[in-house]
Amino acid sequence: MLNCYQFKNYISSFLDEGISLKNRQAFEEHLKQCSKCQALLNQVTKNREVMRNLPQVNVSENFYFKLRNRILAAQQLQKKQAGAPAFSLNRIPSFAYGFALAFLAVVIGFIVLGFQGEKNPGMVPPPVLQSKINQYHSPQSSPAAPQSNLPPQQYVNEQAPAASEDTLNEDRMPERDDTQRDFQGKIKTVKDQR
Amino acid sequence: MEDRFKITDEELIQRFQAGEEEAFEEIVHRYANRLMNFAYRFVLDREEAEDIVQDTFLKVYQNRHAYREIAKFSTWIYTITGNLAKTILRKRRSRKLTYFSRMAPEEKEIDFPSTEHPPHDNLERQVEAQLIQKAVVNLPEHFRTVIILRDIQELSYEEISNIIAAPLGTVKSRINRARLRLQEELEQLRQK
Repeated sequence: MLNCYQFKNYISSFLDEGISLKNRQAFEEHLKQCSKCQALLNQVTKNREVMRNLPQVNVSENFYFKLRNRILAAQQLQKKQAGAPAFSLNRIPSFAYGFALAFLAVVIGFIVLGFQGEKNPGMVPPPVLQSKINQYHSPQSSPAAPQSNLPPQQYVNEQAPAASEDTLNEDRMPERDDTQRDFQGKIKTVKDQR
Repeated sequence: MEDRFKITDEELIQRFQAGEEEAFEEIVHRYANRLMNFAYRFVLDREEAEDIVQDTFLKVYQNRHAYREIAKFSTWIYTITGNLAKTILRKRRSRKLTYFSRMAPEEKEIDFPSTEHPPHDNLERQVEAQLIQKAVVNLPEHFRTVIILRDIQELSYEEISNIIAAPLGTVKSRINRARLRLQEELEQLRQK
């Protein structure tokens, strides 16, 4: 004996005659006893009949004419594509020309600059840059400068015997700023007071 | 003329594959209205339905050699039409326009085809037919496909199984659920 849920599952099998004999008997037994399921089956059967008899929708009169034209157009396109050469300037997109021109301009720019560089081999750097280069190559900062076993002060004294202590410090540390100098002056003053 | 009707669809497509253009014309005459009916029930718009059918035949023409005689020709051509109809529905959804199927039933202005029933056919039957068309449109896409193919186009379970590429058992249960859902939709429409 089927319940209502099982009955619903067999409705289409029953209508389309795809139900087994055993299930058909159970289906019909439930149908006799359940008025709700009877109404449902009647409705589904009626809906199916109405759908089968819905008015036919036909294509319009110019359907065949339009189709013929579309097929002819497709054939012509195919022929065009088959006859077209493998490479053509027309196939290159317009933005590619722009990229090519920009690349060419950059290459020409590099060539011109390089040529100007060869023309002026003795080009002198600006004075500010030159002073920096000189500082870098001075004996104090140069890593290649000869090393001495003497303390730095003695070494400096040999090189510049008349120089005062302050002058010496300035020579040895040219990059020292005004704050450091003032600070050293203060130390000196304190030593003198003692 | 009589011979022309004895030729099966599969023989016709074979002839067309061999280069016989007249075979294609015969295929168009055999299927134009059937496919139009199918596409119209799907999209409920005459122009769109006709475009779908045109696209179907154009695809058949251009891809004639893609057909292999492992499936029935009707299955192949219905599959093409069904896929095109679904594409149209997806495009509609993605455009997020107000569509016929999304409107409230009272808002819909259905362009129902003129009924060609005999004079004795009463008004009640016509009203019922219109109500059922509205209910079919309201069904989800997967239910709509199978119910149109089964109850309007009257295709077999096996053909539907091939068209929607689903096992036979799935098709059977889906058709049953679609019919029950259609009945629910009809009850809702009658209450309004």
